[in-house]
Amino acid sequence: MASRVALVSFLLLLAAAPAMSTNYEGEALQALRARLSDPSNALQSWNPSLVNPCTWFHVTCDVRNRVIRLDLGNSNISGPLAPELGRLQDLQYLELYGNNFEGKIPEELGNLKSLISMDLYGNRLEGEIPKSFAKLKSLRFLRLNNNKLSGSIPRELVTLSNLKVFDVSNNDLCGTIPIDGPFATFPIQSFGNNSRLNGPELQGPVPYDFGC
Amino acid sequence: MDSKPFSQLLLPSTAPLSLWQLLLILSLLLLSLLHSSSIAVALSSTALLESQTRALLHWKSTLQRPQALSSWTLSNNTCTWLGITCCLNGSQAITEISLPRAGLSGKLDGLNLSSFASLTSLHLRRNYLFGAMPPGIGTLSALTSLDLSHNLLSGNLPPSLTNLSHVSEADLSHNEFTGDAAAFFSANWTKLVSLRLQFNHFTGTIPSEIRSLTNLKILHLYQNQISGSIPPETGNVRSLVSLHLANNKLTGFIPPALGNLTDLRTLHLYHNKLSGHIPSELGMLYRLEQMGAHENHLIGSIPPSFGNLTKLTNLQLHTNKISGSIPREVGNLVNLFVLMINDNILTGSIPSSLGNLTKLSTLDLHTNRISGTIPQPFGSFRSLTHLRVFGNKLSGSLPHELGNLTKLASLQIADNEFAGSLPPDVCKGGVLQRLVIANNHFEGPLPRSLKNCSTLLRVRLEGNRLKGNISQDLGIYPNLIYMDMSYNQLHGELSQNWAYCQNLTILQVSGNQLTGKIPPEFGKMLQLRVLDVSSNQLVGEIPRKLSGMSSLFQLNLSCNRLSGMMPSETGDLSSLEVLDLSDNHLSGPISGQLENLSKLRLLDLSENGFNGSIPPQIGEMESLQDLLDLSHNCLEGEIPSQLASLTYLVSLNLSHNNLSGAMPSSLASMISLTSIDVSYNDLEGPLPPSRLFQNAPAMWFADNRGLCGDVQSLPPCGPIMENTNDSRKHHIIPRIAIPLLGTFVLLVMSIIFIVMLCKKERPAKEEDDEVIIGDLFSVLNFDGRVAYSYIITATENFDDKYCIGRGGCGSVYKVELPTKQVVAVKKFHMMEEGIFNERSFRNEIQLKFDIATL
Repeated sequence: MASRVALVSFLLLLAAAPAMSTNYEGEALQALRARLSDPSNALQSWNPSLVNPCTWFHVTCDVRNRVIRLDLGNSNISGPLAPELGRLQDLQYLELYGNNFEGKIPEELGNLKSLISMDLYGNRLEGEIPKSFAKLKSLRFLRLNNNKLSGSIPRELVTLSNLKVFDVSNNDLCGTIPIDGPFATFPIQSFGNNSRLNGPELQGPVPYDFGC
Repeated sequence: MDSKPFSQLLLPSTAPLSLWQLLLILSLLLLSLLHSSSIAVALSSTALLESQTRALLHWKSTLQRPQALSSWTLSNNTCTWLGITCCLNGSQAITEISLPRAGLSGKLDGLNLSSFASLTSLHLRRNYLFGAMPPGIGTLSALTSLDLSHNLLSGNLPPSLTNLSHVSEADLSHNEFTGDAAAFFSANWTKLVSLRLQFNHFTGTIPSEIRSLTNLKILHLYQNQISGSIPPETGNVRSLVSLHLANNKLTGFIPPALGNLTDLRTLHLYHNKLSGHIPSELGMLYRLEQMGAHENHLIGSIPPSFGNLTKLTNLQLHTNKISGSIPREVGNLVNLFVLMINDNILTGSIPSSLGNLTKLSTLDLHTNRISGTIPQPFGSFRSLTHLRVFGNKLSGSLPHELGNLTKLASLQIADNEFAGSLPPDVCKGGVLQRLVIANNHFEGPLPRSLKNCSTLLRVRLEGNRLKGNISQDLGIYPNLIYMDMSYNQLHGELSQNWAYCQNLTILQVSGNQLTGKIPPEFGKMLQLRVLDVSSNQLVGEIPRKLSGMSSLFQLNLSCNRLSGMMPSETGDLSSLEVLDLSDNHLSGPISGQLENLSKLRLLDLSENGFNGSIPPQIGEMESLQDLLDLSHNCLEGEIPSQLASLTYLVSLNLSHNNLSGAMPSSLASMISLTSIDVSYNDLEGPLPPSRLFQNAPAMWFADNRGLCGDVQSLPPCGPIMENTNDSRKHHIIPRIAIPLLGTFVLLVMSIIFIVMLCKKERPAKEEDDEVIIGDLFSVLNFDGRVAYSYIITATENFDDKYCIGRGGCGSVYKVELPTKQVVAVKKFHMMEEGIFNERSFRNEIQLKFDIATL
């Protein structure tokens, strides 16, 4: 028995070898990476043994080593968006445009309370625009154009008072276009090429008709 | 399936019978004659082996790869089959099934265990068995050893498992089992010595019945989904030698009663959700060799009683919320070779007693708030491989003896307050891979051992005051992946040797004093992703061969003295996302087939001498998103209407050129644009009809020939520019505005007159001050120190909230002086050494003057 215990102790020693692993934010990015296909090796530098993701390419941190930018535009990446991205509490720029991201937009992205810009345009995303985006109070740019999004534009988004650019053209959205809040200023081409989108919503006591 | 009668098998004819067996059979026969019930016994014994054989052959028939079981045929005696052991007394039954690594693939529940009551040992580890645990397992009442580890078994454990009261070793580890594992903690299992359930999906809690497992030495439940708290009754299992509960969902406190487990050698509780203090009672576990409580929510301090754990070789408490200082008693743990207490909120200094830990191989104190110095004896830790103390408040100089450590593979001490020089022999051992000393106050030369340190993988020296000639002090590093030497005081030239670092992915030497040219050989760095040599004194042309860097996505050559034209091959850098050539002496037209840079999101060519017109092809760079800056050049001609295709562009700066004509009305379709600067050009005519301009600041349009539009500060467009419908509305504005303006001018002059009258009545001394302040920046009265002190006061020592812009070389601050004068002040990044680009400084002076006059 003693020899067995000794052997076990030795094996545990190996198991407990001092491997460093990345932090909470790095884990979230690794969760994204794990489900992606990356034929151009854009994520090659994402070494999970580094203590934080701040020296990974296409990831930018602030002085406190918190991730503030994720720049993976036009990177030939395909696969689903990971809900874990919602953990990047200090993220300001989520730039994932021009890839082959598919599936639904995780509602957890609504937790990115520092987000200034979300560019998911030019992918193959489907499903609805999450209502949770109404929590992105710092958001200035929301570009979801050129995807396969369906459903209506969530009315909750009219509360995004900082929103400067909103582009959902070239999708499969339906219903009518909100006119309140920042939506009063968006040009009509931001909504173009959604064959089932029926123009600005009517004002007045008429209940809003989603028409979807 | 064999069809031979079983009676042939029972008396094997092949082997000669031993005398003992012969006697046994004779006596059996005799007995059977004498007593009819004895026949029944013999028959039942025969029948038992027969039914066991039948069960095994049936199982074999269900397996996918039974090659290993070739001996399992009716022509062989069951008791001679591979892995089968029978008892040697008269009862004729199988007692052991042992088939480890036999390549068996199939369902385990195809094995009917209901006729194996005599089985004492079932060992099937490391096969490919799947499916649930056989339901008959509860009938194995004689079982003492069960090993089904490293298979693909799944499902919940059958409740009948509690019947197996003789089991002393149970190993179900590395399977896919689910459900509650509490069955194992039943009061029946008092003979259990080792229980291994790790690497499954077990849920539920550890029941307090654990107290009855009084012979248990090994309890391994790690890597499951077990929740709840660790029952204090665990402390009753005094026999425990190894307790491994890591990687579960355990909550609550670490029970102080664990301190009773004085035979414990291994205690692993890491990666759970345990909270509260570390009980000082754990200091009684004097036989403990390994302890891991890392990655929990533990608070409080490290108990000084841990100093009693002198047999510890591995202590990991990292990634908790442990506070206080490191107790000096930790220095008693002289057998430690791994000490990891990083990622906590430890304060105080490193106790000098840690100098006793001479066997240390890994010392990890990073990301705490530890201050003070590194004790001198660390330099004599001959086994030290990893020293990681980054992200603390450590100061002083490094013990130069660190250079004597022949096994040192990583020295990671970044983000501290270290000063002094680096150990010259830091790579003397020839195994250094990671040298991360960034963001300290190191000065002096680059360590001399770096030149031949071919093992280097990652080097981060940025943000120090290191001096040295990088072309002489550095060599060729075939394994190097990451190299950052930015913001030091390095000089010399960029060596072509870098081209032989074939694995290099990032080279940053920004903010140094490098001179000379960029070697064309850099084009051979096929793995390079980021090249930043900005803010140096590099001269010469941008080599055409740089276009060979096919993986490059970020190129920053800004703030140098590069001259000549932009190479036409620039467009071949097809992966480029960021291109910053600003603040150089580049000239000629903007060319280089930039439109081929289909991934470019930032293009900054500002502060050069580019001339000619803006190529309309720039409109094809549809990925431009963050910035297009062509300001401070000599560009002329009209703004091409094709720019309007840049619908993702957020910021456009064309200011300080000689652009003429009207702004194309198509620019109104640049829906992402949130800032545009066309000031200091020769533009005229109406602004494009874009919402962007509705609240636009005046400075975007200042100093042009004749821009007009509905923007504050700009005159409204005249009737010629407007169609007849709109003209009436716009005519009204000047009619009102001109008399208003006249009134305003009169009012201002009156106020100035009154103020001057008041001033005359003040005492002289005060007036002197006033004069100095008032003419702070006039050539006659200029006093740099006074001006500086006012700037410091007004910006609260360059607080970020006054920063109105950042360039490659410095930051610009808005300063409101006591005289209410508003001026822009540029603070250069490298001010203390007095090296900055003179031309860019002159440009900036011009800019400052421009803003001040607005």
